[in-house]
Amino acid sequence: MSKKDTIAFEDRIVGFPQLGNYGIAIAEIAKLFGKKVILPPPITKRTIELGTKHSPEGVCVPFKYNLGNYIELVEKGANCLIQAGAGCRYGYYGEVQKKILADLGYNVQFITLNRVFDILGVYKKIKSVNPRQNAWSFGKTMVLVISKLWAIDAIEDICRKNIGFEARIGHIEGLFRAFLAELTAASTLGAVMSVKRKYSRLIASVPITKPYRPLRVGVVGEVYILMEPFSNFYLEKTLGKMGVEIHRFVDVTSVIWDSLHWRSYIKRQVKKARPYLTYDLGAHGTSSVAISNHLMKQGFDGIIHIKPFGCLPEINAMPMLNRVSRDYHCPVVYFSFDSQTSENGVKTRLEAFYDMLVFKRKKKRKI
Amino acid sequence: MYNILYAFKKNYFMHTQPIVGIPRALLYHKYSILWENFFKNLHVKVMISPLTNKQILSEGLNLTIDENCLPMKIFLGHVDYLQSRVTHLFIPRIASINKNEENCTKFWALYDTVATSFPEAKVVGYNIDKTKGYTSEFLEMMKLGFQFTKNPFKVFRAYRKAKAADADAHKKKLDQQKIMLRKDKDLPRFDRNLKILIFAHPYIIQDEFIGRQIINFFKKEHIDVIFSYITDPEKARKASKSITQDLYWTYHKELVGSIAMNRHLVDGVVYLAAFSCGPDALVVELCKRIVNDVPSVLITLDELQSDGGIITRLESFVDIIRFRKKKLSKRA
Repeated sequence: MSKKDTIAFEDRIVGFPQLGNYGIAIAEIAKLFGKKVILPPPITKRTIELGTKHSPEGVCVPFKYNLGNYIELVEKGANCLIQAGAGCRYGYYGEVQKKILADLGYNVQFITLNRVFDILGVYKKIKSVNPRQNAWSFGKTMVLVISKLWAIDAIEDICRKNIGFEARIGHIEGLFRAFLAELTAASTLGAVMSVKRKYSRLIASVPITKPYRPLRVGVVGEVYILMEPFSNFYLEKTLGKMGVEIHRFVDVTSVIWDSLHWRSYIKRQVKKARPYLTYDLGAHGTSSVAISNHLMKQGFDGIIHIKPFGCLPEINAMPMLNRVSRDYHCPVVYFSFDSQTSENGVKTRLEAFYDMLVFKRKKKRKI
Repeated sequence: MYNILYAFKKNYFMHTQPIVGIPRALLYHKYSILWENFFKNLHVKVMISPLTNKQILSEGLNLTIDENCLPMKIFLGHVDYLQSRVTHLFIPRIASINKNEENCTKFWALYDTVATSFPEAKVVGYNIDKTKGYTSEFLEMMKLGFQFTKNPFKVFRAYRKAKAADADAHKKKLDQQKIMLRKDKDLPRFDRNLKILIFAHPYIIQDEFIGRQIINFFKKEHIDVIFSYITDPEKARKASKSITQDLYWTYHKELVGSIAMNRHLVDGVVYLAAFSCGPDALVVELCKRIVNDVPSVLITLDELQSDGGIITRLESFVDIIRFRKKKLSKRA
């Protein structure tokens, strides 16, 4: 980075792309990069249109979402943008997006945390853009950020499992929104913990009518599409409201935790996927196979595999998932999301999948 | 009982006379001399699948989904051709050959994809993955050799001979290209023959079905073709830093480096990207935006394309380059 395109710390208005409900936690770490922070505007049709217009056609859809986010952020006044990078193609997003934004004529400072896998690397990066940063306040912020991410993940997990069975429709969703509002205000570890405790109790006490053995479906696949509900057309919520217990094993907390000890994590995942895999497939393809293998042994009713169009690690995992499906006689449905995917197509396929699960359950009971 | 005996006999004789099948796709175009010589010096019969044709491609299309990249579809077609004709399928896994660098993830999964798609076939290979720690090509090839012979010296000699042959062939190709680049250096700038750099992987440009027609077209037009994959890898990787810093795909780094080294010597760049190739989509975009002093064209290849469409686009591109050169020479 040349010295020309750096902006002084006091003048920086930091922006970062949207990622599910994690915006409030990521904002805490963004505060270390600049004086002011703008939360990304919610993703709309315009975002994806802007992103598609300026990105290469063959690239996977998270790139387009992020680029659209950046353009909207710059329009709102941001002048310093953050991008992380790891895994398969995601590690190269930053440089290309920086060039595209520069060619569009935006005068912004673009900071990439490219292939930084540990907290020390993050600290070094922050130190390079903000020399006055001290380790103590960085550590405090990291604890706050990670605790917030963890709290969001924990509450989301409870919601996901119960949302289909609530007695009064919209009860849990309302509680979740209140939880996010309170979490935004929390500024210490203790406050985050107490908010989390309070809402996990509240959500657990919501009256639900769960059958003895509900239909259970596991969702596996690519990380961004899993975590950003707009990009998968609220697939989890739609299926959950039909009366299905949704289980998901990949969230931000797990991604951060796994990336800290990536090598041993991959080794364990390959072992879990044993008859189907001998080597690593790259990014989260390995864990997609490992988790589905694990789910089948637990007796789940079905698996949903979601990925952006052309995601290579997940395409690599598909032949193995086919084998898993054949071996355990269990349905696996594949969804591929692009800027052109229509919401109705996804909904129709989900309904058909649900019907199939119900029929299968009935047949099993008769036998 | 008879069945068991028969199966044993069959297996026994198959074991004594192994035939190793190498699909003529993907990394074969990069490591062909190394692999062929290695097995030849081990006295193991090798069968290489024929040049890609329509039937092989259509077999490959049946074996995978549309989203997968074109070279992968061709690769699976070749494997399908081989699997009934050989005893061993040779599918190495070359995931990362340099530290802090990777190959595209499709190379990571080749072994497992073939092993799951063809459960009856016996798959052999070697694994080079520096993201997981220390691995050396020599030790892995030794391990591979022991599956066919028990004599370590034989394997060692086979590896050394194959490696020497590989280095020789690469040097020969490099020298040829160097001569082509410098042959008319003494002529005035605008009398030189047209030179076009092709940014493409060997498994795309050297493939009979998708890339060969493009080379043939340039030959017919009497244009010198320079392949970006024929470079000194070390130099190219260093040179690529002038265009991109964060790039971590080894083969793409070499291609980009070759553009950085030769951009002032050529009249045009042709980017050949395979449909839905992950790294290509990003790298080509960045290259096109940064290397803007040379005329360039991006051609995306897929299985549905007709030959006429590509040739027409190339013809118009060549016309533009010729026109530009004429204009520049008049001005000079």
